[in-house]
Amino acid sequence: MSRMAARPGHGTRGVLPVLALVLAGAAAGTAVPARADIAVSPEAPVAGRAATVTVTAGQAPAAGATVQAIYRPGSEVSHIETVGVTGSDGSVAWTPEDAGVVTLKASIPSPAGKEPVEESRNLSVRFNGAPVFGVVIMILAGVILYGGVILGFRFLGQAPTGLRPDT
Amino acid sequence: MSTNSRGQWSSRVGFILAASGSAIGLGNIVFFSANAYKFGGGAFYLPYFIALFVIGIPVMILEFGLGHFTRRAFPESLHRLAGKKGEFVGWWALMNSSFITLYYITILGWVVGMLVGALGGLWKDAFPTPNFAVDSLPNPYGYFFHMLSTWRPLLFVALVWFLNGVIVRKGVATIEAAVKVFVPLMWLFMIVLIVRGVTLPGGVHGVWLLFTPDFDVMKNPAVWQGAFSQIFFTLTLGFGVMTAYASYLPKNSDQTNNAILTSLMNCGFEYIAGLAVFSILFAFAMVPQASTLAMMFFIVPKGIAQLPGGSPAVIGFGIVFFVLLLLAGLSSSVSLVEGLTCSLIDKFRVPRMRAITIFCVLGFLGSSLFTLPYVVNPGIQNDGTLGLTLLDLTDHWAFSYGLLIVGLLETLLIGWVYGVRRIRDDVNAYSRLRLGAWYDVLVRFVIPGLILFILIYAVVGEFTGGLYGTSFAPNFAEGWRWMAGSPWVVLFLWLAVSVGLAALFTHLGGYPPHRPGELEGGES
Repeated sequence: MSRMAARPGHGTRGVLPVLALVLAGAAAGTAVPARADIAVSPEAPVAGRAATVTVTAGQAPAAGATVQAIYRPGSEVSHIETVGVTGSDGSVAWTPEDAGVVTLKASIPSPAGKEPVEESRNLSVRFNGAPVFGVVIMILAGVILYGGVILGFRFLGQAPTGLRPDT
Repeated sequence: MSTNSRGQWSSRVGFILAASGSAIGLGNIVFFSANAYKFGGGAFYLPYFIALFVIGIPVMILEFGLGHFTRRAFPESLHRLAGKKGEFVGWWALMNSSFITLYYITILGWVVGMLVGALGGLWKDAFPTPNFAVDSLPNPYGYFFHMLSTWRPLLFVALVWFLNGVIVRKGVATIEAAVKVFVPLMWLFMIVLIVRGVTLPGGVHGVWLLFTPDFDVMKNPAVWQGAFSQIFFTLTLGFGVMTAYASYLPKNSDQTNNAILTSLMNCGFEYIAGLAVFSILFAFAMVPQASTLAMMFFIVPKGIAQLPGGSPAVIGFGIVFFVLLLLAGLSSSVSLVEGLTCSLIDKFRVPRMRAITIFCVLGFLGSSLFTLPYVVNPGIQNDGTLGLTLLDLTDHWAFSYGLLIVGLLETLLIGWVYGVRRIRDDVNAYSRLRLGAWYDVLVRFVIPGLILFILIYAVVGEFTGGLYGTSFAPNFAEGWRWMAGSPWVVLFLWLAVSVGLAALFTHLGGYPPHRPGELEGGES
């Protein structure tokens, strides 16, 4: 068993704050005049390797858009990296710092003093090869947990309790 | 089973399956992953693993040892060790766990509703939500909130209470029979989900994400606080359930091995659940919220809806997922029901069937409060319906604070009032792995210190961030503005009802005198 909602005193308020995002997204969708889009090449970027972020608005390249990458979005330990400003072709170079889920956010300037158009998308940045620490911890944890369970059942079978090991 | 005969597990495996089934619940499948994501994946896993050995297994040994030592349920166990003060702590733990049982079973009712939806309606693009601010919401949000804004879940909640009553009707005999089916099925279904998750494009990178530590993130004390509380909650410590289950074992049982085995099985299940959920999160680049409800009703179903293979695959995996949740939830809820039933029988000598019937009927009425379908927050910035708002607030106090306070009091009573050495000697008398003096240091100093740190950290957050729930106020609908005070009301009711009933049960009646040698490790 474990807890249902967020931990006490730690930011997340309400069981379902995700819903607020859904409704806000729906509202924002009605306010944006021209559909903006963020594309990444390659589609599955790899940590430490160069990628290109392209921002379009109404199918045209969006020049001057400020792009940010939010690593581990929605977590207590997220951090933001400013990727840069898109050039005339709507693109900017990006080398992801870390693997994991990342939110790319673009702020596209609007003409005539209107609010800038915000667009964002989530993507997964892959590891550059199998991470040694990660593999070691995964194997060690697995061996300790399941090795312990196997040993425990062996001891259980030998314990002098007067009960059958199993029916 | 008569009131005088407490019954006994018919096999050691049956006991381990029941104890691990109690520990493995909804939270293991989804909340572990949500919490792991919240604290940085691999940066969380290492502290979590350390916490398992520093706080998890030692407190599990303590709770098993207590049941084994006294052969009684939680309140009577603590009564025998520390008199009325101890008994009060035991009853308060059970009252607190009864609050949790009420809403836990409501959530299981919603799981049944989503299982019905998994046969079709849940996988449509959107679902009409005429009672809310928008006419329809994308699924799975739409299906879930539509269901909550109707009285239909009441039927599912009645069904779940009925199932609980049936499973505990003959005590350990029927519980054992049920968990022997439920627990292996849970493992099987989880393996099916892992295989699907890891074989998705990029799925294996999600697995690396769960285990690869980020040492910079690990410097953040919040990560350690999160990991240590996760271990306490996931092992069902502080509910009194483990003591009740261990009280049905013969005197010469190896409690150290039982505690290690139960804890490792629980964390082993979280390990594979983490593999399944993280691989799906990564493959579909989803951002989870640190909430069991959001994870089980929205995030994972959203991932399932995107699985390749078309409608049959989506329906099939949806059913597997919700059946898995139902089995895990039932194996936990029966332990909660049994924890209280067994204590009532021990103290008041009421026949088992009468105790179960009263508890199930009153429990159903209590759970109904959390199904109230009135829409208080049409924009769903917070919880949407009245029932879900009450559930959220109750969970915050009963789960996040109640269990930790019980854990703290339990270790202080045993460590400082009764003497942990006596429990340790009793456990060692029948255990292959013997506990050294280090165990006394853990129980007397380290564990209470850690729990106190977690509690203080949480209370400070409550002061700096505002009392939990007070931020909901601006989002309540016109006719529901009076709900602004609900966080204080729920806090007051939780404290007043749980403390009041605990005091009443402590005061009423008395326990039979101990038989000579009963607390000295003698066969009873």
